[in-house]
Amino acid sequence: MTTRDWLLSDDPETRMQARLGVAYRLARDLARNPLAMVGFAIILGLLLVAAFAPWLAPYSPVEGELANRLQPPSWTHWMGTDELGRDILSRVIHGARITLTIVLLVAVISAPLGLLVGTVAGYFGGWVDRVLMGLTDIFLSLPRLVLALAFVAALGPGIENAVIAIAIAAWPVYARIARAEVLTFKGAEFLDAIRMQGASKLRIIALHVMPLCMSSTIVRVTLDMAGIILTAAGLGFLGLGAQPPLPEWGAMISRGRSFILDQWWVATMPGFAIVIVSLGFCLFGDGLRDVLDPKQRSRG
Amino acid sequence: MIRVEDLSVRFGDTQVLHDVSFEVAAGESFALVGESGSGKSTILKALAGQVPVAGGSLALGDAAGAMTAKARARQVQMVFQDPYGSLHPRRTIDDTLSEPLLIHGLPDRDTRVLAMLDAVGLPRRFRFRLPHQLSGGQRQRVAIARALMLDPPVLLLDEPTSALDVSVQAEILNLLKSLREEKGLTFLLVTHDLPVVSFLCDRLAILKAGRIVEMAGVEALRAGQFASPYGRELFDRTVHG
Repeated sequence: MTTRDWLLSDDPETRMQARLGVAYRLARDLARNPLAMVGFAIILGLLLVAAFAPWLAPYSPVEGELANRLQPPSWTHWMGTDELGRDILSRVIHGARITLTIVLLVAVISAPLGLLVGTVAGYFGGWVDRVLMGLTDIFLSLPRLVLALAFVAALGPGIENAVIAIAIAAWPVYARIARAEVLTFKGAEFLDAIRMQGASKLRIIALHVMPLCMSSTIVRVTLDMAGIILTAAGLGFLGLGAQPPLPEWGAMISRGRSFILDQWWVATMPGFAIVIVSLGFCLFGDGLRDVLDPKQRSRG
Repeated sequence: MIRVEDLSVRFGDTQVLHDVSFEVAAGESFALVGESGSGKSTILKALAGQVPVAGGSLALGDAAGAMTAKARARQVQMVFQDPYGSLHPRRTIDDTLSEPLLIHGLPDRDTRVLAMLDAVGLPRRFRFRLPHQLSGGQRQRVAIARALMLDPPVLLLDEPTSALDVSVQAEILNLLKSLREEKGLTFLLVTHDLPVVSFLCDRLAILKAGRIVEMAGVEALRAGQFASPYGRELFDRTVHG
């Protein structure tokens, strides 16, 4: 019996085999989608670049030679240099770390928060639902960047505060999605059955309700990653995110703005990085949705 | 084992049950029969603690009076009508059967789950399958196994075969009958299917618009001799289609 047969067996012998089988099927379906694989490759590339940034970057990201300022792309500086003579490629590479940190922290804070609020509201209904969803609506009614701006203004500029601000602005969407999902199976008999077994409300929500909302939330988070990157870049551009000399992509574009007509590469190179990484998350998220949520499979 | 006295249930302004009273002895199998909307399923839900009781009293199992949800779970469990909706779609059979043991902190989960699979006639190799890998009849066996995991003396059956193919219905009914004899279970069955009643039950109550119009033994059903006009009407409709 090959490993593949073992994984695809209809009659797994252990819990472990059953779980691995489910994971293998998911991975196999995902691998059949070429666009999702492109997205996956981009994300993998981002992870590797971020992990090995100090070894990959040819120059220091923060120190430059003023004599070398604003050099166009060449063999010595593949992406050129900025107004302080720093190598832009090195800055973009180190910026990958900052971007990844922001994206992961926001996802880790906002997705569980949204999931919790949404499932609790959906499961309990009544006044709990009204209060929680009222709160969610207030947050949803404000544009994400404006809300994040307000929080950063209150908390002070910096990466940590930018993360908190973006997370606060991002969770309501997940709460809405999770609640809608809960409402579709709230009356299902498997929930009556588990209630009849004497399970606590906490147990029902955490072990029986949340897992069913998980896939739509994961898909949504992946698709939102692009938006999170753009919001972080927007905050950086406005000078409220990462502070100099940190090589945050949005902040780099902001600095390059003054030279955009004559030295186009200063603003363009980090812009490329943002576009490519956002695209990667979008493609991967789309592929994930097709696999995890066959009901909403995109046509074609 | 089950005592229901003057039970009333209302949803908002509509009263769905009017002073329903009946008793089921230990080991007996009792059926509630009636058309849709007669309130028969509501009686089950009231006994299961899923709808609030407006008046009257309920006593279940060995304990009397009010019970916590956990204590009630040890006394009574339910098998639902739709085996496609009553199993969690993302949990394996093993998860579903282990869950009641985990909730009640019972030991020897592996042996108990395997013993229960044997008892309901499911192959052990199905243990780690997901519900969508099973047929309707197999799922209903899982649902029955789940209901028996805590060894409750009382089993509530909400039309347990009406969503199944005719050939599978007989298998499930035989399984229920033999489990009842083996474990000395008390059944409260809700159905509109009179042949199921005559196969599985000792006595029945006929409900109409939230009231019991007649109680009869199963011999009266077999002979088609109901006392009430509504009972005869129901019987005629079943016999003559």
